[in-house]
Amino acid sequence: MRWTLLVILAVLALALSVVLGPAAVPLGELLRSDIVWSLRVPRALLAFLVGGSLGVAGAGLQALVRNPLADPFLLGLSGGAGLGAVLAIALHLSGPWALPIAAFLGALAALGLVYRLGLIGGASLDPRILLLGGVAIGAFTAAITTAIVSLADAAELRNAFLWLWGGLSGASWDSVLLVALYAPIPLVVLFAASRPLDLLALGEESAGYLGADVERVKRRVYLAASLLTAAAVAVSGVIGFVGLVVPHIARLTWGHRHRSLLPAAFLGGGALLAFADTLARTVVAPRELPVGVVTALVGVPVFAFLLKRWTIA
Amino acid sequence: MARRPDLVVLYNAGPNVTAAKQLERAGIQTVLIDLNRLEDLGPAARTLGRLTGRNEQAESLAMALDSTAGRPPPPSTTSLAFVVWDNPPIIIGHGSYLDQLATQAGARNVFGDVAAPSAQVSLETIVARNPEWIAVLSDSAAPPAFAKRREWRAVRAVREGHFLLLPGSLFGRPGLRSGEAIQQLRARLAR
Amino acid sequence: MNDVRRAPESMMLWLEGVSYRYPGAARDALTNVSLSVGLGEFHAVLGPNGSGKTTLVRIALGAVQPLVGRADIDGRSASRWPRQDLARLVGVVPQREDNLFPQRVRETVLLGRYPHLSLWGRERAEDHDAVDRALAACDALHLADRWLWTLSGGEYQRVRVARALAQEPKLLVLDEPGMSLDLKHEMGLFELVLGLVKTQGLGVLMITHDLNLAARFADSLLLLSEGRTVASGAPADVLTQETVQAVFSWPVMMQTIDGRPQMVPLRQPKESRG
Repeated sequence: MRWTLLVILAVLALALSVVLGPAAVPLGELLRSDIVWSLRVPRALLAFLVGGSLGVAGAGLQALVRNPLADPFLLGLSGGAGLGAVLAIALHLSGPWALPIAAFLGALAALGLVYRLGLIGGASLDPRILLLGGVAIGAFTAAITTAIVSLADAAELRNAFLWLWGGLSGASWDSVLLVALYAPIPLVVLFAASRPLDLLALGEESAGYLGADVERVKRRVYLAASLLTAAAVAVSGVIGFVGLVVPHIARLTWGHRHRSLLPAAFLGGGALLAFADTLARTVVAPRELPVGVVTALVGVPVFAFLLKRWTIA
Repeated sequence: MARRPDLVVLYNAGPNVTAAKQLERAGIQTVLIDLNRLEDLGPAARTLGRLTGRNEQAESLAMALDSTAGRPPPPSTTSLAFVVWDNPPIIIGHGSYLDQLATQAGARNVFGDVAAPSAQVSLETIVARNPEWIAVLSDSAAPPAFAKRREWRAVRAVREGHFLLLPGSLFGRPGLRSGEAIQQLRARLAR
Repeated sequence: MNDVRRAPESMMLWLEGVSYRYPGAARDALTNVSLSVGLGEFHAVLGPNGSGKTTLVRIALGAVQPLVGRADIDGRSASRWPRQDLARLVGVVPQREDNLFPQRVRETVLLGRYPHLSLWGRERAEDHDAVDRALAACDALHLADRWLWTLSGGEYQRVRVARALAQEPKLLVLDEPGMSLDLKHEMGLFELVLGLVKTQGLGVLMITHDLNLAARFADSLLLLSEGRTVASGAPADVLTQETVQAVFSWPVMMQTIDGRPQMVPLRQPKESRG
């Protein structure tokens, strides 16, 4: 029953994304409209894929670091992506894909650094070091980025921050195809880790005694979640709160078993982002809000409500 | 400060205000000038003339600049949108300098209804408003990188390659050559 | 030392001449310790803090490799066992456990079925039956639908033992299970463990600091001190007054109850201490 509702919600969010928008497209002309097919449909699909990926990545990370406040962007990836993007502009790298590729590579570099930090003191990925390292690398890259922007001349560099703030403006069938081909692999890795993630909630020692290959699971979950997040940043900038809040909302109905939680987080995250993007495009039309702002504005009250519920439970 | 100029002229913008105060404290004469729109040119010339003691030259210059600014715009024969950034799309709205140039050159800014000097809009809005030209501040002769992006090709002007590539030195800010800028724009639009 | 009649292959757990030193440590954590646990046997490991009990169990479970000596589980080197296969054989109740999210008893015991589940397969009827059986064996079936955080310490421990039982292991390893339990629950736990040994033929290895309960319930004791074996074998042979006094550095009196030695610590007047 609840799955049916979730699927309906997801379909509804997608439908609204296609039907609504700042450019008035009458219902009768939807099927023929170039705006709908070239812009709205790919954008809705991309929003869904990115939102879903962030939801699953967030759920996986929260289980991995055993911290319910973990968000995919706590890992320093957004800082790396921002630095990559700003460098691409400052170095006048050309090409329509220069920014996303640079951002993706920047995110991967940050991922590598944090991973390396997480291995300090032994072969085990220590969740606390992952979190602290992520925050540190994030702050470090943000500082370098700000320095470059303030020293350099171009106003373009300041616009890079707007890009980083999250937007699905770059959505096209090209980017949808790219994400649709890329995302399934890390998603499958995360889904396959569902049971070990359940065990991990008991602590790494107990999980190991129950038969989980703890080190392998940690590595895979961390890498898969990070790769999903890196791709999300590359195509749509930093969209906060989806990865943090969606898993918690999903847990309210589906509980903590990752076998159902992860798919629910995917559908829920996709629906949320598609819906938020529709709001971003229509609320102040003809202008557009950065979608990262909308998810925060929606996410914070939801989060506050959840916190209240938590402290009661 | 080491060079001890007689006068420092700064655009009246955020960080410059603080800089101006610092220079004044160091005993260097500083003036902040508003130079955002065509109408600011005349007063700016007069202010500089007053400060440098060249009032007559300044006055004749100011009158020429005023007439450029005050000229009634020709009827618009074409439409355009200024795209400052592509992802997210940032356009120039009503009241900014570029918008004024366009009007003076006989082109309607399709985003003239946006009150802010610049604003983020959805790509589909640009497509729906269908400007005949996409104007970009660019010093190169090549079309902007976003012209190759699939989602931008939904915009007719992008598909047809109707780009106005405006060099920053001439079109970036109001200046002595504003009149020239308007002429050039008008000529390009006529092609 | 191990009885020569006990053959390594027939033992669930076989540690022989095991030594280990932690990296950077000044002295060995364990020196030449041997231990064997067979099915249907209840073994307890005793000793003061730092005597090497935890290290011994880590080595026994293959979590750490000994520098010297042999550590086998069911005839195979402990560290070579694949995790999931090992979990079908050995159920462990560690000292500490996290509970990140609220959970019901049945769900947490169900986690014990992990070693028997395939990657994508769902839990089957036999898995749920195993959970019921495990809960029943631990006298916790009536708690099945309760939230974990509503349980008392003793009930929670029984649930953890049930989870280990749900793995359907042949060997049960418990690390200080009675710690922080009150008298009633601690007794109940030891009775439970002994019952499992007798009725299900499990082998049990338990670390405990409670000498008296270990002596009452276990078949065999291993007393460690500073990483070395002081004594091993039947409780009456291991826990003699001299031995206990020497290892724990405190005067005691020994009594016998049900044929098992029980230790009573003596009070030491202030002047003669130190």
